[in-house]
Amino acid sequence: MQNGFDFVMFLFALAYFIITIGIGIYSRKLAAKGEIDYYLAGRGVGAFVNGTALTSTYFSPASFLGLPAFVFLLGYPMWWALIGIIAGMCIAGPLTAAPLRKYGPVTFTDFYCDRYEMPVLGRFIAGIPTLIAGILYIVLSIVGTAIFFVALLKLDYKTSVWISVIVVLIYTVLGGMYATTWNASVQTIIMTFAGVAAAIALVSKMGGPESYFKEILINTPKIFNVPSSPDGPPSAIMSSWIAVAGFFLTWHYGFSTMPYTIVRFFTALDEREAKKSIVWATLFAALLYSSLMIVGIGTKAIIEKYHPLVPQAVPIAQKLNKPVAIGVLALIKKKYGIGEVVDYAMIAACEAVGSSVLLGIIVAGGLSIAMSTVAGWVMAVNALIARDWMTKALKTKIAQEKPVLVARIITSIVLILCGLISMNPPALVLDLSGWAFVLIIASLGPSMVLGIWWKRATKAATIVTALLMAPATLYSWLYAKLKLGSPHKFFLNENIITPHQFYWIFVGLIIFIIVSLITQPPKEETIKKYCEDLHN
Amino acid sequence: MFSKMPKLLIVAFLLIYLNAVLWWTLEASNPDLPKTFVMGVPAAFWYGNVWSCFILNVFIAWILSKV
Repeated sequence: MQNGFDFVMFLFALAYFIITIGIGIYSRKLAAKGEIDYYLAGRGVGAFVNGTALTSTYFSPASFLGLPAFVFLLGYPMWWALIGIIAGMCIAGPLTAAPLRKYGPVTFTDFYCDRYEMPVLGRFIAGIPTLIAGILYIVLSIVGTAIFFVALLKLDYKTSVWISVIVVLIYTVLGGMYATTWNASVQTIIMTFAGVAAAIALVSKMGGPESYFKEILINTPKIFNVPSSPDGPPSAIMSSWIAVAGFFLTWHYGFSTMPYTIVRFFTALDEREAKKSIVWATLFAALLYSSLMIVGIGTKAIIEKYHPLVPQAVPIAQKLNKPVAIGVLALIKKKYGIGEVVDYAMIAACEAVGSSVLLGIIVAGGLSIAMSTVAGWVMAVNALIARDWMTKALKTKIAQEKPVLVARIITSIVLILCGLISMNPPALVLDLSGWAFVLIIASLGPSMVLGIWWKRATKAATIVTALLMAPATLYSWLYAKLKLGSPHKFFLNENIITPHQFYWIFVGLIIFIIVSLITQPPKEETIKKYCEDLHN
Repeated sequence: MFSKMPKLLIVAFLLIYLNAVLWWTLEASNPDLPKTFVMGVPAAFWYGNVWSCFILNVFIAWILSKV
């Protein structure tokens, strides 16, 4: 890590904050009008703004920091995880975005209440997994924001966590969904530019594309190996094709079913705009992820060749019997107290380029991606607690009389709680993201997608799938992480690699179908309203 | 029993999985494929990055927005 305060980098971050907080303050009047304005930006957002907002909400530090870090750790096979994400985005338009926008609910749980005829229970069946996933995502986003503050301000990690909490609090509390939508749109442009700039800078530093990839292969000969390579895979985790498919599938289905993207479908002007917004989201995602693949694959080589801490890191790496790049990260961890320092690998690669302007762009882009995600999830969680639970299910007086005030109080509590957890993050940001995805997709995904497309999908199946899959995904991930040492090992047999316990996605789907077939079908009018009218 | 699903959506699903399985099969039968240099960069860049990420998925998103 470069020593001392970098004024150029600070200017980039300052410009970013002026724009972000300015939008938050401007949005305050709009947000204060009422529920639809606060939660859904008045349902009047066009395709480009909604699409770019979708991109930045969906992409989190798990994308910007986590995916390059995992490519750095696991090599080329991890590229397929990024491809899987984009391949999931492009199908979301007709699959869930357009039907859900036509149906027009306010929050994520409305669908479960209406489609499955459980006005109170649906709030909790869909809400509890959402709350758990939301906390995981807010934590990983605060961790990501804090890591960028470490790079920017050279403060220790724990102080950076609380700066992150305060900044997110200001514009989310003030602006509601207006602020997060417009901020997220601006943030997508900043983060995509930052990702592309990082890729170009790394490639240029190594002397162009051909020498970039040749240097990488000299530095790490196995990095482009596939699981069945005779020379062995780039890492033990990528030793089977099931692992490649597992990483591909974990995030593949998420875009169509995750609460924070679903809510973005509701903010679009109409279903046509919702579908068009997916095209913009896919295009920006392709640009960003292509860049992150290039950055991730070269991270180790460029750190080891150019990072200023390499001379100090060599003895540490020798002592640890690890690559020099890990020694550099170990030094950074020691100096700033970052809990999961591999998440810093992407920034370390950019530090190795030695350009303050590049670091300024990266920090602004990183803050964009982290803060837009935390804001999107905070909005989803406070809509869940303040509106769905306190107002609709429990009918508390204060929530009915002052919904926006209650939402702001909930936002503050959630952010402080997640700030506390972020002090000692339980895993790498990408691991937390994968955990949240599998939890939501396995427990609520089948009832979301099949509820729109399959007339036989039943209330009983929704309840059983959520009640079985939420604890199963939580337990198996925790067991694999704590007992077997990695959340990617199959919790019943550590010799089998099953990234993020992804198989639960298919188990959940099968359980949902079986229970639906053996239980009472929904009413005719429900089928007509949700499985026929939404498609006309 | 099922709602009328747009044919293009089904085709898109098939294309996505066939694309992944095609390249994984080719890689499994020729492990050097990802690092074989084509026009100055590894082949994986062309079929993973340019084709799979950009061309195929953005095209699918665009065509599905018309459904």
